[in-house]
Formats: sequence, structure tokens, C-alpha cells
Amino acid sequence: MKSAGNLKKKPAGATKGPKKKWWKRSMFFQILQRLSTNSTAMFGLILLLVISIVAIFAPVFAPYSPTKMDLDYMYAMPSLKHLCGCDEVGRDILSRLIYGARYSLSIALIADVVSQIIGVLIGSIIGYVGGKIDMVGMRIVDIWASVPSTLLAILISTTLGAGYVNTIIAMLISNVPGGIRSTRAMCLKEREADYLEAARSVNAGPLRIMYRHMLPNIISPTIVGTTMGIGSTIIAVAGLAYIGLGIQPPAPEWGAMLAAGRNFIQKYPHMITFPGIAIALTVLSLNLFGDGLRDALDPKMKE
Amino acid sequence: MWKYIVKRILWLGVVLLGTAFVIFTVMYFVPGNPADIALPSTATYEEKQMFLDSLGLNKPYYVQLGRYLFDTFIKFDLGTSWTYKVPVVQALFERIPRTLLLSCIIIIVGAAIGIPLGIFAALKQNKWQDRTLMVLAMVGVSMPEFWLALMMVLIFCLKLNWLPAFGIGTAAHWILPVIAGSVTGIAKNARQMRSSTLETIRSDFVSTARAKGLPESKVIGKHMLPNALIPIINILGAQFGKSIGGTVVLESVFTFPGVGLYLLTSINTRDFPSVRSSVLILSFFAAVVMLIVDLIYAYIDPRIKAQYVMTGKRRKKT
Amino acid sequence: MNHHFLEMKDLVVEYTSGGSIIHAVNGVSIKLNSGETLGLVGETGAGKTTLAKAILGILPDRSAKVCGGEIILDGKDLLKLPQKEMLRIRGKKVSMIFQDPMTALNPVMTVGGQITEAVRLHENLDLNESKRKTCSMLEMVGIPAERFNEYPHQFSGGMKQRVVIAMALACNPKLLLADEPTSALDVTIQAQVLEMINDLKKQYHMAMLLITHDLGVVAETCERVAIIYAGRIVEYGTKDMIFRSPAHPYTRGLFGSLPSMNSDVKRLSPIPGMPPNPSDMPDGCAFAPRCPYACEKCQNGDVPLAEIAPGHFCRCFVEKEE
Repeated sequence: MKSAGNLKKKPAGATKGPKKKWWKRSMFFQILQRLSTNSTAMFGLILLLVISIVAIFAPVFAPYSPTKMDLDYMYAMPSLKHLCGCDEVGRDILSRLIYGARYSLSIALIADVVSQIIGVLIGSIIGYVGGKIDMVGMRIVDIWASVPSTLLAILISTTLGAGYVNTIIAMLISNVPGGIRSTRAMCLKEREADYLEAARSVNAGPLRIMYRHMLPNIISPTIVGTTMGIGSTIIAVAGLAYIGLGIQPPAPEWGAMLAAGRNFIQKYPHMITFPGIAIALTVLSLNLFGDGLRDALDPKMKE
Repeated sequence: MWKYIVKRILWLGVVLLGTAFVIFTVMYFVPGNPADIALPSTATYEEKQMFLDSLGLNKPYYVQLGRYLFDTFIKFDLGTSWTYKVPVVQALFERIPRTLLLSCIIIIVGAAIGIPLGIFAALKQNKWQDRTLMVLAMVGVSMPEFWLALMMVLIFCLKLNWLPAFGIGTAAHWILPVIAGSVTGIAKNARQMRSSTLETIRSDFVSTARAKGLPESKVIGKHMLPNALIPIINILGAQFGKSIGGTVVLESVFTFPGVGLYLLTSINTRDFPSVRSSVLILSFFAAVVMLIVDLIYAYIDPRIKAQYVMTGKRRKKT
Repeated sequence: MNHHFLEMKDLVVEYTSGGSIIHAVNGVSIKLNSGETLGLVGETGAGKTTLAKAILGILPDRSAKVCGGEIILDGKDLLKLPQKEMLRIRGKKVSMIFQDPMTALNPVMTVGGQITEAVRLHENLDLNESKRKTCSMLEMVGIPAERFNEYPHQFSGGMKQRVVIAMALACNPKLLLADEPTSALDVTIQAQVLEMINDLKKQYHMAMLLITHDLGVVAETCERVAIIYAGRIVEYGTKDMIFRSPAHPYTRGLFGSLPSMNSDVKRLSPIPGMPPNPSDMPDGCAFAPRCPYACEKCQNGDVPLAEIAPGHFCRCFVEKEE
């Protein structure tokens, strides 16, 4: 009989591949990898980066000053000199679009991120602690949220008046209850999870459990929600400007530009076409990227 | 279950009270003196004071708040418009059904078209139908509604002259507002439904249904769909709230004489009673729809129904 | 017996995942007689559930495909049957019990409703008679008939599994595919459920394919055992043969990793290594990388299934000490 002696025992793990570098195996890198194979998400990201860079370096990219009026070119149609035409007082629309990106992106970014942070902080406390705090807290949130967010933003904008900071505040106040509600819902689901039970069983305090165990599991959907939320905030800000609140002319806000073009749709359609395309492209890039982010952060949903 | 419904309705009343409080307080701080707007510029200081006194606007905050809440909820008197000098109820009387109807139609169209499209896309996952629909849905979600409305006015009214753009009168006047308002809803519902369907169709109980020998159509219709639709119902309720807000802007584009347009003009003229009442009415309808949606949700999903029926004690599973 | 109730010949099932093709089932042949239980033992991912789903024809169309072999049930090749006939067989001639009772039932349908649905599909009974049949099935698995109108979430795991069993047996199937029916239950409930399945099997004279990774369950219920590894049967024989003289190194490894009741060991002795990545299978014997008896010949070409004793088959040619 052949003895087993002259046979080499194969080492454990012989079927594993070559060991990868430690940083290549980290979660972050894996997420980046998944993201990079998603072509629509990368397209969204690149588009977003392009828009952001153009907005940040607006003086470099914009052919004219956004506020310079040139009465010779009132209502000018798009031409080689003015690629998107001019508005009712001769200001170049393309330059206004570029500078307008600053307003839309910055307001939406600040308002959305801050409201999500506040929402997560409050929502996680309410959701995890539960009990009386949950009851009282949710009743307050119910009343806060009883006025639909758009209407609340309109009201607050009316009270505070037009302007950059006031618009941010208005969007903040109207978006926070949504963030609280969704964070609380996620916390309620996670609260009964086994891993939290395990943490409790080794005597981890509630604060530690909340922030070291529960929150990381909530981060992914929150990040995705924030990214998509920036898009809807951009639209909401434009809507506010359109009805005369929020940012007003001569500031080059996209929604305000749409309002200005409203009465000249037939004769000068370029005044409403281009600002709208700008809004749509920006929000589209955010949504594409957000979708890809969602797939990258939670790959099992994809299949 | 009935106890729960009654509790919710009572709570709705409390929330309404809170809403009125929020609206009133926010409006209280609006800058600008109503007297300056309502009276001609030649009015003297005394005349302005008399005007303010007649409206009770010189009293302290809590007195005004109390008066407002009392008027609104006990006497059902929504105040008199400072601009039109008619009771707000009268001004809103015709407008409320229009806005309500518009919002309801938009939601129904959004669901009736969006949900089947989402299911269809899920069943044809990764084929060209799915990809095309999702691209379209993506674009639909990214467009601002009022811009779409403006473009539709441009194309269908001014260039092609197929449909009327402004105002109200015939059924044709409703077509563009409905289409413009429902595109976002259709896109959102299609995407949600697609992901919900994809998730449900992989469930074990769907395999169980197939293993029983059910034809595929019954597997999808009786087992998969009811479960996939459940998360959508919740979303539809929230959509109504957003849609009510969006109606304001939509009505502005189409000069559609509903509550939204009235609200906007009242804001510009600082007509407080009109603003307060319009927002209150709109919030009320949004809250009622959410309540209905919640109840439907509980009716359909026995797990939720069980939660609501339980008196709070954890029932032991047997 | 000459005529086997179920005969599977060289079944090959392919999964396409992200562009690569995986053979989840790679040339499996088994035989099953009426009234007999065949235990199918293997690790997760060995292809057991795929096998069962292939018999029923409920593999996910999009990603899975049967691309070779035959499944002959009572004389007919199931793979060649038109869909309409398969619908009649599913639930009636062949039934399946799924692995996880927590997710196997439709959450928004009553328990009774789901069982009645199966009954009405295959039996010629009107609504009331179907309901009565459902109630009797519920009673048979130990659930009071009054719970007909309750929903799955109102039942515990063990009770849910009983409902699933009642549903599978409602139409008196001739072949029961039980996919790890007790894995999700705790040990005492496990014993009850196994006993119940055994009783019902005798009562209905059913053939059963019991899929499990638990050798203890096999010992309780099976007459014949097939060990499956990486989509292939590596050993096959009666329970006695497999338990008394396991031939394949993998089988030996499985028994070796069971902690002994008699001796006092400081460490468990698992089989070293991991099951192969299905999209990256080694050439030759799939178990060779982990096998303590592996030699060079093991890595060249396929190892055939050889009959090392009457009725005892093994896919390994290395001779080992007993």
C-alpha cells in the first residue's frame, strides 16, 4: 500500500490567491473599486466634478462678468459671441449660468449636509433611546413636518427675506424633520439587531453602542440620501427663486433666471432653455453618482 | 383597530393646532407693516395706527395667537383678506377643489403609469427595455418640474398650438399641468417599484410559490406583487405632501387659479390671513392623505396591523 | 429494484455570474426508490439546493441553466417536459421544503390560505373541502386548526417549518425534496420535526431526498447517503457503508471533524483550507488542494466514480490505510 508518508501535506489556505496589499483590501478601496467599474456612476461623478470646478473657478471660465449689462445685446439670441444668448438687460447668460452654479451648489451642499447631520444626531438619539423621549420627540417632529417642506420653506423665506444665508436657513429648517424621521426609522430597525445585543452583553454603555456600533451601519444609506438630497435641494432652491423668494436678481441664480425668462418664452426661448438645462444636468450628475454610490456601498442589493 | 383609527384622527386635530401655531408664529415675524401696503402712501401715522388697531395687530403676540386659534378652530372663521376685503373662505371656496383635484390626479397618474413601468422594467432586468426606462426615469427625476412645465408651454402651446397654456376653462386646460406635474412622480415610482420588485422576486416565498406548481402569472400576481407594493404605498403618501408644495409653483407657471396661486399673490401683498389660511388648508389635506395612506398600509400588511392592534405588550409568539 | 423512482444522470447546471460561468452541479447521478430516503451531504455552496431546484425546474431563469443530463421521474424526463406538465408535477408529485422557515412563507397571506392554495391547485376539491383538507394537514403537523387564519409572523420558527411541511405534503407527493429542513431550528425542535417527517414518510410511502450538512440527521433518517463536493458526488453508498467505512478523504474529513463523545480533545480537527472558488476550479480532483493523501496523479484530469465495493462508490483512487 502506498504510505501517506512520502506525500506532502498541502498547507492550509492552499486554495487562496496571492495575498493582496493591506490597503487594497480595506473597505474604502473595495468601495472605490466597485464604483469605478460602474460607468454611469463615473459619468455622473466626472460631470459633477466638471461643474464644480467650473463653478469654483468661475472667473476663469466665464467669458463675461455676470452682472455687466450691455444694452446693445438685450435679449440677444445665442451666437458665437454669447453662446447662450443674453437676458433682458444684456447680461451674458452663459456667464450667469457659471456663476449661478456657485449659488446652487453651495446652498444645496451646506443646507443638505448640515440638515442631515442634525437629523442623524437627533434621530439616532430618539431612535435608540426610545421610550418617553421617542414619544415626545416624534410628536414635535410630527408638528414640525406637518407643513409640507416646500410650503415651510416658502413661509420661512418670506419671513427672513431674500438672500444667501436666509435661503440656507429656510432649506435647513424645512429638511431637518425628514432626516430625523428616516434616521429614526433605520435606528428602530437596527435596535433589535443581534450585534447590538452582543455589545450590550459586554457592558458597553449606550452612547458607545450608539456611536460605535449602530451609526456605522446607518452611514451608508445616509450618505446616499445626502447625495440625492443635494439634487432635490437644488431644485427646491431654484423653485423658491422662481416664485420670487430665495435668491433674487441681479444675483445669477438659475431659478431667478427662469422667472425672468417666463414672460418671453415665445420670443426669446433661450432665456428659459439654458438655465433649466443647467439645473437638470447638475441634478442628473448628482443622481447618477448617488445611485452608483448606493450600489457600491451595498453590493448585495445589486444582484 | 378602530381604537387606533380614532386615536390617529384625534392626533390629526392636535397636529393641525400645532401647524396653525407654527404658521402663525413664522408669519408673525415677517417684516413689513401691513398698513404701509394696504393704505395709500398719503396715509398719516394715526390712520395707519387705526388700521392696525382695527385688525388687532397692535396687541401682544399671545393675544393675537389666541385670537387666531380661536377664530380658526372654534368659529371656523379663516379671517378676511386684507387685499380683497372678502372672507378668505369665500376666496378659497372655488380654489380648494381645483388644487385638490389637480394634486390627486397627479398622484394617481404617477402611480398608474409609474408602478406598471417599474414592474415591467424589473421583469426585463438588464435588457434594453429596462435600461431605456431607467435612463428616462433618471432624467425625469432630475428635471425641475416647473422648468418642464415651461418647456411644455413653449412647445405645445406657443410653437405647436395644440393645448391652452394658461388659466382654466376646459378639460384641455388641465392636460399640461397634469403631465408636467406627474413626470417626476412617474419616474420616482418606476424606480422604486423596480427595485422593490427585484428584491421581492428573489425571496424564498416566491420560490415556495413556484414549487407548489403555481403558474408564473399567479406567482407574480398573488405573491410577489402584494409584497412589492407595500413600500410603495408609504412613498405615495409622502409624494402627496411634496406634490402639494410643488403645486404652488406649477400653478404659478400655468396661471392655474388654485390655492397655490392665491398663496403666492397673498405673499407678495403681505395679506396675512390669506397666507395663513392657504398654508393651513394645504397642510391639512397633506396630513389627511398621509393618514389615509397609513391606514391603507396597515390594512394591507398584517404585520403592521398587528403592531397597531397590540396594546403595547409584547405578545409571546407561540 | 430495477425501476428507480427518481434517476438523475450526469446532471450539469451552469450559473452565469458577472460574466463568468460556474458549474454548480457538475455531472451528478443519483438513484432513488419509492419509500427510500437518500441523504445528500455537503458543505454550503456544494450545489445541493441547485440540484433540488433543478429537479423541480424552479432555477432562476436569468442566471441558471441546465445544460446536460437527464432527470427521470417515474419514467419521464423532467427536463424535456413542457411547462404545463411541470406545473402539474410541482407540488403534487414532487414537493420541496425550503431551508429557512422564516422567509419561506408569504408574509401577507394567511397560513391556511397558502396551504389551501396548494390543495386547490392539484386536487379536485371545492373551496370548503380544500379548507377541511388544510385543517387536517395542520392538525397532522401539530398545529391547532383554529390557527388557519393567522399570519406567518404570528408563528415561531419551528411552527413555521411545520406549516411549510404541511404545505409540502398536502397533496400526497411521491417525492419530497427536503432542503436542510431542520438547520434553522434548535435541537429539541429538530428532533420533533425529524420524527414527524419520518412518520409521514412511512404513512405516505414517499421517497425523500434529504439535503443536509448534519451527519447526525443523516444517521437518523436516511437509508442511502451521497456526499457531494464542489458540484460532484464524491462518495455514494448505504448509510452503513458510509458511516462504517468512509472511503473518500473528504468523507473521512467530515467524520474526523466531529468531536468525539469518548475522548477528551483540546482542539477540533476541521478539514484544512476552504472549498474551491467555483469560478476557479483546480484541474483534476477538486478536493486535492485540501487532501492529506493527494498525489500528482490527483491533479491530472478528472477522477471517475469507481465502485469500490458492491453498491459503494467513491471518486478517489488513492489507496488508503483502513
